[in-house]
Amino acid sequence: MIKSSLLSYLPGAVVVLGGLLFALGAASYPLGTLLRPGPGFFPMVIGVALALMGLGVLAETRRSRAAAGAADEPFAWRAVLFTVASVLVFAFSVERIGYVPAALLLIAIAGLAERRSDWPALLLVALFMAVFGTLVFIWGLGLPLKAVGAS
Amino acid sequence: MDLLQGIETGILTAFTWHALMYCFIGVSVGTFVGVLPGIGALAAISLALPLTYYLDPTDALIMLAGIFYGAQYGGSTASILLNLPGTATAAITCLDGYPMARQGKAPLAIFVTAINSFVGSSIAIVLVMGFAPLIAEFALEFGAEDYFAVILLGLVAASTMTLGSPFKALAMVVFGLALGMVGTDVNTGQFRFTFGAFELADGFSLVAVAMGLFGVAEIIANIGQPQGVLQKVGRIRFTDMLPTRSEWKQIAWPTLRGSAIGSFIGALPGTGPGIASLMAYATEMRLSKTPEKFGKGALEGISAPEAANNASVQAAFIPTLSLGIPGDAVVAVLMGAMILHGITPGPNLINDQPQMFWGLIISFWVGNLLLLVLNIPLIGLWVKLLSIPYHLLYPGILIFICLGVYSADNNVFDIFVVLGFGILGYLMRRTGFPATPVLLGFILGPILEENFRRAMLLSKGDLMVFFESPISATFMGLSLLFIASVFMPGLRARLARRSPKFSEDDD
Repeated sequence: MIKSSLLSYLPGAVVVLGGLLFALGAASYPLGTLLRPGPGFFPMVIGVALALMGLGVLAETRRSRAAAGAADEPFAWRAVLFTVASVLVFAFSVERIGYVPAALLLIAIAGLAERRSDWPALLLVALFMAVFGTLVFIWGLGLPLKAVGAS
Repeated sequence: MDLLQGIETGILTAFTWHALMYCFIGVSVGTFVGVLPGIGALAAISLALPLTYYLDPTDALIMLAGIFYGAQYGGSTASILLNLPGTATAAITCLDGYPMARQGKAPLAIFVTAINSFVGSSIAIVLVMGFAPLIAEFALEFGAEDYFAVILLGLVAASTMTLGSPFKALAMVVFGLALGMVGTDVNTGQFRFTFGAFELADGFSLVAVAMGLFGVAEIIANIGQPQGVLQKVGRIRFTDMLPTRSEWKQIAWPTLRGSAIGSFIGALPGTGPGIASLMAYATEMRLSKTPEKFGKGALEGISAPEAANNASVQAAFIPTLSLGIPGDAVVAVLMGAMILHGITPGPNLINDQPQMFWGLIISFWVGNLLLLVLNIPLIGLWVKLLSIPYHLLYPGILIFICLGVYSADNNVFDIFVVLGFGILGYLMRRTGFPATPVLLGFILGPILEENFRRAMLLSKGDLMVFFESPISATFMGLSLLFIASVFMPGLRARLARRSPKFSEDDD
């Protein structure tokens, strides 16, 4: 109970912290004067405003805490994990092994995000994406990638 | 340039074979992504943006705009047949559209939403033709302080006119401004918040931020979600679609009222079709003699919001093309596209680039007529699309996203940026922070800072300048009014009570 109510303050706290860090970063650039604002001036104002908005969010959380309590959907760990992994693998491999193998890897890993995947159908999707992507992006738009092999 | 001359220029521009072709591609892609739940206009436009680098800027804009308003037509189809909005802005249409489909009246609902979309769009396009040049002329007098004030008003209006938490929306608009600061400061050449990453010297790529917050986040949220039950419609016959005489009468006024509400909300900087369709629905419910029929398949319940969201989409071009202030987040991305093509949106646009302005307007007419064809005789095609399961779509969309951001700069770095914003977008969704204000802030941030600095230089550092010029003072006053409304929960509660239980970001 206590843990979950503390957790509900987390988003607001993150915003406040983000604002303060941004203001701190802005302070490392010349602030200038109102007459001639430097590169740090506007970011400083933004950082402070962000922190203030975070305080507003915190106050709101405090006020509505009693009223809330709607059951949250569970955090989609599986979807996040496999989506992120598939895109990362694609990013690291596309320039080394070529577009088609990288795309196959992405589809295979992303397919795991769903609990029950229809692999034969996904294979068709992979085939389509390999042909379509090569035609449009590599031949059509001339991306500096190879269909297969390092670019 | 007067109206007739403008229309002539527009016809000459919009009726070339390439403009017609890109208009057709745009509205078809728009209907496609509109029909499919889980991918919206914003994601589609960001995806198509890198593909337009090689095009003539006018053709590029015609196509991207076509995706935007095309998606509003397609969005209602999924709402009616699947009870899932194809685009977030068609959420309201589920309320009465799906019950109609269950009563076997899906063809009628589809016909009515298409016709209403067309009427709403048409009324708003006439307004764009009439008002955008006038406002632009007026805005030529704007000084830097006036620009600062009107951009600020747009940002504040966009974040306070939501049904969710105004503080969260305001925080996100400021967060967007902060993201816009990343990169090289134009005035001094100082690197800001780049953390030594050379790739960030030009700031975050617009495509990567938009694709992350709207594309990847959407995919993560949709994976593993149960799919709606598709209402079987069989062959849609034209005779089933046509409303009877009394049904025509029933929808006439709601359509006009919806168009008026949509045009007004759309023309306000920062507020978009989501809030417009919501307000149109609430208005009809209050005016209706039989409010108990709403939610059970009332024709007024689909016609007013559909007219409103299309009208607001077209009207959003009024502030964009006349002031350079986007009327809504999707138009903000379109504005980003103009900037990438080296065109500065603002009051000079209509005079400097008449063929672009008028060509775009005339292409709206062409596009809307094409959409009528796509969405009435060819509707069967799109209904088939709805039977593609999502788990086969998202791996393909992920690849398109990766290639799309890669092609913007031929750099893998942007794929990491997209991923970062995707995770952030998913977390924001879970905690009730809206993503559209981030994008508005991100695009408008640099313009806001530039005008602030110029105003300070010209006024010798006097902050009062924002309240001394009458134009600026009016906008500042309106902004303060919006902010004050945040602290008056009574006012908000009254607004909320009038609206049905549906929040804008509830997609």
